[in-house]
Amino acid sequence: MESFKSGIAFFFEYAIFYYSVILMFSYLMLVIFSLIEIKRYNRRCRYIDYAALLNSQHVPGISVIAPAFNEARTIINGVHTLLSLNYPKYEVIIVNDGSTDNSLHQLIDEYDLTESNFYYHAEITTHPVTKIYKSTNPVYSKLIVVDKENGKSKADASNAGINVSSYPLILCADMDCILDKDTLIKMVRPFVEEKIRVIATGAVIRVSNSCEVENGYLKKVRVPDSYLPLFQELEYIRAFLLGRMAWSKINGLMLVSGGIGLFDKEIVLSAGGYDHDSLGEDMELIGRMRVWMHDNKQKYQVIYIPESLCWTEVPSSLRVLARQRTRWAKGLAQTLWIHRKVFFNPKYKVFGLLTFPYFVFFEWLAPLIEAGGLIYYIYLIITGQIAWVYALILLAFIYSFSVMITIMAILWDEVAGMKYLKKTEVFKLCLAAVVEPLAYHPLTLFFSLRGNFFFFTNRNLTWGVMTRIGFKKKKVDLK
Amino acid sequence: MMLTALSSVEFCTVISSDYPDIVRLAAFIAFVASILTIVVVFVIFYNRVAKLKARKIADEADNIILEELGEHIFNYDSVDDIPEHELKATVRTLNSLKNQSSALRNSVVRLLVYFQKNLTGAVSRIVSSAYSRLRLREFALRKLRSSYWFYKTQGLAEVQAMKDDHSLPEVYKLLKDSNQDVRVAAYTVLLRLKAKDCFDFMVKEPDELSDWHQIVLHDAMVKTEGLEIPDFKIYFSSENTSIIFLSIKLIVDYKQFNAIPKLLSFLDHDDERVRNHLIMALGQLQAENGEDRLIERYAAESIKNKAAILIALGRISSGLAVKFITEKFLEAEHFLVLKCAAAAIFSHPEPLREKILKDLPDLNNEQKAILRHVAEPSNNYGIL
Repeated sequence: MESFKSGIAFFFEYAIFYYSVILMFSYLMLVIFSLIEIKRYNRRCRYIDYAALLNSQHVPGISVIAPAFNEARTIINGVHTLLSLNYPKYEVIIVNDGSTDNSLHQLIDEYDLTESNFYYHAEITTHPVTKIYKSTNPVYSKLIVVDKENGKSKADASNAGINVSSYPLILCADMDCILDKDTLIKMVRPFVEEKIRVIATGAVIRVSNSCEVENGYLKKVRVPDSYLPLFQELEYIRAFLLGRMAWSKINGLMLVSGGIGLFDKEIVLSAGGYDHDSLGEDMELIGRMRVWMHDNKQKYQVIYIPESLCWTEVPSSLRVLARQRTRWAKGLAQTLWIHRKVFFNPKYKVFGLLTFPYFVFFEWLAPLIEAGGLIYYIYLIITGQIAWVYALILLAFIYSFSVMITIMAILWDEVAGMKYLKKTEVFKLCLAAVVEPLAYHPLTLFFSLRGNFFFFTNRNLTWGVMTRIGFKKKKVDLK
Repeated sequence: MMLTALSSVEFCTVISSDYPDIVRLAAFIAFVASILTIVVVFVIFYNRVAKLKARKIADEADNIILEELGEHIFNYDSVDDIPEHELKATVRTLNSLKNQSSALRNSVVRLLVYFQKNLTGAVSRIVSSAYSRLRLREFALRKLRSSYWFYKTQGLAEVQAMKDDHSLPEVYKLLKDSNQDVRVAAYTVLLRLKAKDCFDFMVKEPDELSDWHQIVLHDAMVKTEGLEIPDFKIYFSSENTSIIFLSIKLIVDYKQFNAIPKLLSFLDHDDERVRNHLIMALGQLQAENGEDRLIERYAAESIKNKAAILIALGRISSGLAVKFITEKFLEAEHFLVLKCAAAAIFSHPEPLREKILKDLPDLNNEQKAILRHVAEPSNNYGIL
């Protein structure tokens, strides 16, 4: 018993400490790589003249796919934004995933839609498509609306959109996202610029909760007013500008967010499209595409660009946040389990030897270890064995490092392009970074544990409904 | 912050104490992280203030320059109409701005380049004259001589926008730069300035050009008025595949029908992507004499190229390949082939199309549905 106790003590006092040091070292590496990548991107931007791309007929065509489920409040503005993107060759495919509200009728009325003879070829199996609509108005010739039975997952709706798409590149977006007008031109750049085949690109997603929006366009970018969206904004900045940019630098990206991602359709189809059953379908798809490329011995890249091109409304209530994060955690565990053959497999190079183990040890395992550490601390307090000075120093060590990383992410955001005009807004973000580890992180930790519990106990988890508060100013009427 | 509360004295006490090593290491990392956090916060705000100040200066400079040009220069119809004293006074004002700081000089250059790019006629000549009198070329040349690729490309963009022939000797030096972006930017300048050897890059470029580079060069060629266009088929012998791709695109855009025999002779090329481009080009050029070769190649090609052959035959639509297209439509096992064969049938002119459809035997549901699909013109984009 004594040796067991001392083993536990050794594990929590030393093993976890060194685990934390390695984790911090990996974060520092991410910080350095991301800065190099952001600087490289900014330099190239000075050279790139987008006018040549905008006026060329030799650019690859893009199919923009946006699944919609009960989006009546935002659908007209959303489609309007998608139809106004700057790009010479693209189509917009809205997949009405069995909505029970009047979103389809709104679309039919607004865009003069009629049933089309469009032939639906189910290259990827989906729930049945009932009708496909096109506009009689030539102004909206780019628009296709697919009406299908609800497949209870975004993946199913996205796959239906992929089946309908005509162009070699597909941009998967969320209906509620607000896209920058230059999204397509900026995201397609790596596809035409790189000599090694690019199979996917992603861009930075930001929080739109307190932004001013008019007719589907972003009028003014603002830091979220309420606490939960504010903390999530910090998370997004950290995840996109530190994590993803760094992984992009070493071609180790494992996730292109579902909110906005541009994919090579040929590879998506070869890999089998989105997995209907996955709760982390965006990460799972990239995993499968990468596996397919390696298995077929093809060179490829997955690239992230440090530009904020997509704004999304994040959960502002604890209930919705809990559901979302639980789903993400379960999705992560699912994806890692599905692709377990990649783990430390040299065949998959950076993906197998670095990215995948990183995700296993530092994304999936971290919350479990952290929770174990907390329980151990509580045990020490209860049994009166705690050395308070040591405990506080160790706590300060974790806390100060996490604050530093977040503050660095804010700086990188400034380097990538100042999105917030007022100094007070940036100050607010910095303050939130100081509070976040104590006020917000425990919540996400709990939801991660819950997601893992759901995974291990094989409990079902549905997508649920994202309750939207709406934007500062919203004019729906476009007429 | 919790750590800022830990004074450096306390920190030193912890480090030099008898505490376990991991605790001392943790304290050390915490201290460094706290200091770095404070420094980074300072950098964030300093960076903001500096950037905003620079922006303010640039805005003010823009206003002064615009006012100066608007009031004293742009209201004349030509350079000759501007009284010498007025031109001199404006140049003097701009010159003093230019010499004040690099930020102001950048504003002057940026605005003049902007006007030169977006305006034509008399104003363009006035801008060019002002650029010359202000001796801004020297700054562009300095960029061309920089050791950083991004300054070189900026300088080249400036030379190109200002149509500055006098800088050509410096541009030529960059044709052998180790950075491909710089080389492509230099090729673009030669094309835009209609230099006599502006197409030499199609022989001399050592590396494969990305699609982006091809788009930029293509754009420069098609948008330069009065450029003497060569016969692009001569570049087919290039070992650089990207040059062949670019040549094929240009042959199609410039409708160089005399290149059709050469295109046909290259249909045996080893590279599948080259064959795909050739097949599509033959279709776009409506090469009737190429139909037999395309049909001959069909069996040996990949699904993607088979589909391209069907689309090309549809575009040519001489009527001679109708039997072949119909056969492929009826026996298609792959959806892409089926769709392209159907599209090829519908590419034929009205009376012939009706006849083909009438002669088709009993069709299955998928075949009927795909014919209905391609019958709607709005569905027939982006098939390949």
